[in-house]
Amino acid sequence: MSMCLELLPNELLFNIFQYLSTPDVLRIFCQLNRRFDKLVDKHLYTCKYIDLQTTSKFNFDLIWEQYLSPLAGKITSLSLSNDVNTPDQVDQFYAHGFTLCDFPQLQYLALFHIHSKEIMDKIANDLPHLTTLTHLTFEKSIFNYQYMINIIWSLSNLVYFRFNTYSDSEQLAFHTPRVTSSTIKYIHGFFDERDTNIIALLRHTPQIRCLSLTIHDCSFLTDLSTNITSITKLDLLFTKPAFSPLVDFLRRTPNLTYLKLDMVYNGIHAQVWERLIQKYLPKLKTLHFKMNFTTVKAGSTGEKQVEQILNTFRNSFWLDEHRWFVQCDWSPITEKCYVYTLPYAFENFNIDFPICSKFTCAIDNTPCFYDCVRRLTFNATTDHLYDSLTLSHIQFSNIQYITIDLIGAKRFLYTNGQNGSSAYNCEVNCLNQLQHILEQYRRVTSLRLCGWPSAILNMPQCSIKDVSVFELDLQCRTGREYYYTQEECDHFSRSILGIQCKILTIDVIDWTCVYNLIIKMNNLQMLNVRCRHHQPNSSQVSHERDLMEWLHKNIQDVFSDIKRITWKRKSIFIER
Amino acid sequence: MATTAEASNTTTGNTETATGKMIKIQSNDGQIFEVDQGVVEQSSTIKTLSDLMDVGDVPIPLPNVKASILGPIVDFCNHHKNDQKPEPIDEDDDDDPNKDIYEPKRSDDICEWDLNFIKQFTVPEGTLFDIIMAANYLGIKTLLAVGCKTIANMVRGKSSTEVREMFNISYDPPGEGINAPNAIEGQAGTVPTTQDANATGPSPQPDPMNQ
Repeated sequence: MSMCLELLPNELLFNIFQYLSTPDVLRIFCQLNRRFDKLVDKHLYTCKYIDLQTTSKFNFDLIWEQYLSPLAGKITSLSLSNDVNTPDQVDQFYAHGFTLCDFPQLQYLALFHIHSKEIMDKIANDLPHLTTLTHLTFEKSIFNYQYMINIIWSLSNLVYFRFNTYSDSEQLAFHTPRVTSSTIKYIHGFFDERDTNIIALLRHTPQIRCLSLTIHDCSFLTDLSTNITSITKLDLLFTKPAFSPLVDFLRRTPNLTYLKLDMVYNGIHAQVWERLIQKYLPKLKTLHFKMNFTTVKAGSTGEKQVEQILNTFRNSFWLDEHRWFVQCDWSPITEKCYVYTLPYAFENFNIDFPICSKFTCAIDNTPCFYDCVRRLTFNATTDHLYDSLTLSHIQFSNIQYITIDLIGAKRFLYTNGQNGSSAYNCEVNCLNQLQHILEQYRRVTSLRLCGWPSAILNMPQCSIKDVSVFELDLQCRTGREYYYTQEECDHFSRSILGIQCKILTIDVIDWTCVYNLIIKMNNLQMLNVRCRHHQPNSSQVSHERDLMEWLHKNIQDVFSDIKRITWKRKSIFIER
Repeated sequence: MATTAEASNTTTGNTETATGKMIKIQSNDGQIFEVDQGVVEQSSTIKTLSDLMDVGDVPIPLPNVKASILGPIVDFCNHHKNDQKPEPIDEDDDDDPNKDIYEPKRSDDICEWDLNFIKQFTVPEGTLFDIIMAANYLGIKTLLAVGCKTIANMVRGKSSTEVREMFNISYDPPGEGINAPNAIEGQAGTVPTTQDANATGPSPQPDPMNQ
């Protein structure tokens, strides 16, 4: 008799459950048979977390009725999300009569995609009652209210606060608290800007140990007269194009043991690093940095310069004492050059030129060096895109998001009759390379093609297979918009990428295109669309409210699996 | 009669290598594998047995693992013996904000080599479960994690019907469990395929390696 899943002992099935979210465990293993039902029950009672992200409404109702109510008093970890799969989940949570106060043991609370002030006010009312709460996360939510921050800083046991919010893809800061927390030790997502000040944050958070901080170009960084002694771990994104404020800031953090530093406009030479660390950061054990040097010349001169830069990182301080190794990526064509520590410790990796690389260590573990990278961005002209897409010496095994931003005035310009032209051939080569990347990196779920409108239409879609992409962003930059025609929308909706797309951002000619996309793309759940006109051949500009009325009227008239379409957060949500 | 696996370098006596003393292990169908300390260190079971027993030239018997599974496990451990060990967790380090958080573990971090390794074991042949059981018995945490993550990745996003089909999972006997008269109407399946009287009993502990 061969072995099967059911013959695994309970402990191993629990082990498998540990790798699945609550909705997955419920959807997959509930109602298989009595043994699995009991295992699911026991798992939920012992793991004490309920993560409702990505659960369907059916599962949410099931969880609510069968599990959440009886478990509420024991749950220590709760995640709720108004994401594309469950755009109303937090609203439903409250609509079911629940409040966060029903979870008296809650230690960990994570809330995602909350954009409504009404819901945020309900959460603000509940938070003060969560006396056991130690971890609080707001991801991709929009709230920026002083009173909310003060409530959070008043939580009696809060240790960890993570804030990560966007408005129109721009990350937002949260207010500086005006009350003091004696418990918060970890803050992720603070911005030092005009109105939000790091010194004030530290004054109101005396126990802080770990800080993830962005210092913007508009930051004043004033009053850095005293040392910041409490912080031992610092994750700093420094976008201010000035050198001395950065060094001054680091000089004030003498107890750092961990430093991760992303310098967008700055480079610190190896000798300066050495002096800085020896004199001002004597406890530093872990160093990750990424910085730009723009003085490297193109061609063979550039290679010599790169070698000179790397040689400064090849003394005993770097190689023996600390075992910190660096890599230099540079372009043989442009004057750009990036220097970073290995393994690469950042989530974003930008490629804006064909890359050549040199490093200071013996490379024996290269495949793992880029495991932290989740977002890969190519910024290239049509002339250099193919070379940029060729990444033979770098492996990004965990990337989930790819952006290709075609820059420069030139697109792949040719007409249908010019299929043999060099522009056409160049585009086909680039598309083949992109297809190869998508098939190689199976974890890529999101693809953004900016300034390359023909890509999605010309990609050799018949042969593309086994890709995981379900989110597509095809909008071009403002001023360079490309509006897809009805024929192009039709072509796209029949393609492999169109068929499996759940989230689409696109510009189209008129409302009929929107209608067709919703009807024909069976997996589409969220459509972020801009229309040039509302009717074919019309010059009238479209408005969202009118569009929704028109869609409701027309979609009801035909047979489809669509239950509901709603307009939320500048997007159309489609429930099937 | 015991035979020595081709992977072994020698069958006579324990040998000393650059990585220390070599140890012999024996599968339940009599095949002997010779492994070095780098492999032994990864298996808490083999390590305990080799510490406890003065094994000399006698192979350590592993009665729960057959040769067709033990061979690949030795390959896995040989591949990973030079991996960097995770930094020991400092209990006093309260700078780790996540140490008390309960949340699903990641399963999307299986490295390329391990992905290819685990592909040789399949559900229809049952070998994927064999390797999980063996990793659990031998106390090889990294391999156990790869196996469990693989199963988790296979089922994620699927419906219970698909998973039932994928793993041939049995229904409750007629009139019991989900087939009980008062069970929720319309729930998955109507025709019981397997009658497993022990479905709700104690955790089954089969010994598939001996079959």
